[in-house]
Amino acid sequence: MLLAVTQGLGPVFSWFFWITFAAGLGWLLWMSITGREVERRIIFLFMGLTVSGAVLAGIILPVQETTVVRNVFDTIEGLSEGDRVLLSLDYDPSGAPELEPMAKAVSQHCFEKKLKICYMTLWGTGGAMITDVIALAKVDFPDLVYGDDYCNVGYRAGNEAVLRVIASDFRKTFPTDVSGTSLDSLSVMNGILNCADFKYIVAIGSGRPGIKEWVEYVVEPSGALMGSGAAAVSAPQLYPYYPQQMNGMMGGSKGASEYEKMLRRVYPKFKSSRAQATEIMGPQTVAHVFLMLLIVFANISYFLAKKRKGASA
Amino acid sequence: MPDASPIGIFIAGLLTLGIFSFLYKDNPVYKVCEAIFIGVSAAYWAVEYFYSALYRKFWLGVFPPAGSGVEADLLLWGGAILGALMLCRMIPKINWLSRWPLAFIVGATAGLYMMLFFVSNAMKQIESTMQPLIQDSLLETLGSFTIAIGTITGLIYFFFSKEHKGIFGGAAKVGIWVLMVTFGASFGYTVMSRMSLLIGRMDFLFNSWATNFGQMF
Repeated sequence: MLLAVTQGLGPVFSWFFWITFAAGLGWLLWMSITGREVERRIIFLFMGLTVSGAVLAGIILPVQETTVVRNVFDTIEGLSEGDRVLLSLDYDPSGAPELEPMAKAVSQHCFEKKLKICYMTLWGTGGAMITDVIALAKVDFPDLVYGDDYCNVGYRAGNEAVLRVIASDFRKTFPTDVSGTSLDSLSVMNGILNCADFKYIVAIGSGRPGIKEWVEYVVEPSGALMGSGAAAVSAPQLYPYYPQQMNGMMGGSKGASEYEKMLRRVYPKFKSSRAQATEIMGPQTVAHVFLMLLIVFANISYFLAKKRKGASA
Repeated sequence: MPDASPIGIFIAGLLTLGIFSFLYKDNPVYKVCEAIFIGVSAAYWAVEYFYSALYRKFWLGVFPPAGSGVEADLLLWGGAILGALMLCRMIPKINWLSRWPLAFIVGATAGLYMMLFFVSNAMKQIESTMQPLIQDSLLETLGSFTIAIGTITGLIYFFFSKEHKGIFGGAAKVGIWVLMVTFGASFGYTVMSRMSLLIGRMDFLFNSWATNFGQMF
């Protein structure tokens, strides 16, 4: 079974990977039992080799769908052709490995349903992220027309103040799109006066200002319907807002991989498109198993050292 | 990076390896990469703020291009003057003027945040917790009981006016377990987040960078 998991490496390297992995773990266990300290650089090396091997092997593991992610998918699935969706990408390049797959999957889903997307960001670095996501989505939808199918209003400085204003008057903060074109001349923005006019808001973020601020400054005062995609590090703090203040959430790579799975189940045409988050989950699982074993070894070492100390006293 | 140039990808790979070299020990290559990162970040933010706040927000707001259909917003002059007063901090004789925009920011933020924070983080959270214990499915019912017991015992742990003894002490101990599970879940999610960053970089090095490297040389 293990060899099947690492089949991407080929049979020889697959054996080599698992034998090295097992030998390394055995050595670490031996060091723990004998009470000897392992230098932190050796731990880094092991973690690096483990993740590298898993990435090269292209390990793909099954993903279980959860209700909290399915709610975001089902809401978009339930929208009608021509409905407008606001997609806020509030992250920087360091959050991209986790959040870009979500943004790409949601964009693909919306474009497949012929929904119109307005992209925006509360982060100064978010402009480049929007450009990347649009470029990725356009691979599957090369005929998208700017202004009719989607628009990009970009970034405006002001953090929470931006949200406070767009909750009641979108054009007051964003009178033009990112290239200076008036929103009135973009058909995608026809009839949009404030955030509540969008059928659905998806805020994808990794910090502040982000999802929490969207709930506080937009959802509460305007009553807009919102779903979110959060970096794993901030997800636990955001679950209390589900389901009353946001109807669904994608938490980290796991949430993104669930969304990718649902998208491919309902729309098989996306099976040929790269599932970035699903690819991350294999190495992620291997790294987690390695980390859990390290915690177990460290505890064995701790209790044995305590026992030795008690015996010598 | 769908539109990155080959030379850009090549440099990004070298910088990634340079930053990783810190894991062995602090070294000149790491220092160079760190300095480049700080310098590029500072320059990026300076340009971004100038373009976004001063040009797009203020200049185009006050002097909208003819035919754009956007009306001039003279209120923006108020923000511009307050912003200019902040710079008085650098002139010792009139540095007291910088307290006015600061007072405005503190007052406006506190006023704006107070009610919204109270509604979304206190009232709505209490409302969400006060749900019927018996739900449609066994799993949801178990979830409701877990939330109720977790909330009550967690609050008991932070109630220090009564000694943690007897039934009260037992409930406080359950509260500690609830807190430990919460911290464990947070730690697990943090690990997942950090691993995603590492995997993202590895994926970049092994796929984009290696492919690009092969094409360049």
